Amino acid sequence: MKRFYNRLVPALVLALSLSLMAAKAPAQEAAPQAAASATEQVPGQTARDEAGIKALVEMGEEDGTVQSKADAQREEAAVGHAETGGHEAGSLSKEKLNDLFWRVVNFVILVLILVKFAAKPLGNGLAARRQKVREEIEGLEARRQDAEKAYQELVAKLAGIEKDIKEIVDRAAEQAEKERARIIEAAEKNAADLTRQAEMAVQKELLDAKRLLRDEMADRAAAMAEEIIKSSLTADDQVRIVDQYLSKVEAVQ
Amino acid sequence: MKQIILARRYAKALFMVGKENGAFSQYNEILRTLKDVYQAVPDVALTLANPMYPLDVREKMMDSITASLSVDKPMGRFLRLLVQKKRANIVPEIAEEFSALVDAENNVCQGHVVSAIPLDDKMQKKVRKTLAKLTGKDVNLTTSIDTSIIGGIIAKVGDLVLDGSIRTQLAGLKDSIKGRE
Repeated sequence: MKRFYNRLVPALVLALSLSLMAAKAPAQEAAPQAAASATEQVPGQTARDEAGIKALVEMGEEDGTVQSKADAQREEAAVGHAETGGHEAGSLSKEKLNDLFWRVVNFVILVLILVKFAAKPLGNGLAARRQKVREEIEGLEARRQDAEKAYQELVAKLAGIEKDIKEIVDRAAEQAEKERARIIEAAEKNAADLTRQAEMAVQKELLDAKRLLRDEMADRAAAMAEEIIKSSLTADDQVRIVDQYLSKVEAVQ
Repeated sequence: MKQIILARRYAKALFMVGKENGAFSQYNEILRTLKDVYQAVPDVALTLANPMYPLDVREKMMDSITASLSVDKPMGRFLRLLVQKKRANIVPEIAEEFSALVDAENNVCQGHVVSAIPLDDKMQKKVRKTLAKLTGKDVNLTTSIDTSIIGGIIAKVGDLVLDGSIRTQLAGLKDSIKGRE
């Protein structure tokens, strides 16, 4: 609120100076008509004053340059007034002074009204705006800090991830090496087993072939012997065979 | 097997009775005759062992058989007992077992010789002599001819088998060739 008044007062002074300057020119050019048109010019002047004050108030919210500008204009007006004050004060008529008085009164009333009814909403609005901007700044700052923290965490995590990746890659390489060795060993063992099985199969086939050949040979030999014996065996041979067998049995006995 | 066990039991009992009476040779002949009848007329055994026929009818049938064979009283009661005990169908087995008991009592065993050619008396005598030496008993020898043995003889006495056939020798030769590495 104090800052609001600090801004509002120079603006009002500037508006007053402008109104005084605006009032002096018509007074010099149409002094005779001043009395007649005084009642008509007061409302129009009041409207211009209000618009100027409003513009100045709005401008005063933006930055401090407006204040400095208003100060400069006020000083300039004060200097001009001081240079010409003595000469014009002597030349001002009573009507002009009266008009100026009423203008000042009018302006003061306007200012009071404005202060009475607009100061509080404008102050609240500006305070709310200021609070909002401050909260936004604080929020942005907090977000920036969070982002910074997250960035640091990500950087640390990234470094850890690289380390983990390296460990995983090393472990995978080690396991792959072991797996390769195991596969090679298993393949060699399988190859040896296959070779041994093949050799055993060959040996078995060979033995089977030998056995079949021997059986065939034995069958043929027995068949041939039987045919030969049948064809050549006589009754005397039969008797001799029986005798020999009985003798052999008796000898065993 | 069960029939043989039963037959041996009945044969032993009958043999003891026959030995006391001194008639086991007669009983042996009667049982052999009955065995021949059973083999010649199988309906006799079927009828005597068939429970569809009344027992008295079967007993009368056995009595008529024993009367025709002129058996003594113990033998008649034995045959009637077989009918009553429903064992009339094992008479052939009883005859075999009884014959074995009689042979054992007379120190005689039954022998059979298979040859490729008919054996003359001289050869049979020689075979009987050899088998008697082996068994220590007199051998009642029977013969048969089987040309498939090619030559030599196959003699059987009880559980003893003497195989001197050419067929067996050729089989042994064949096995020896097959089994030699």
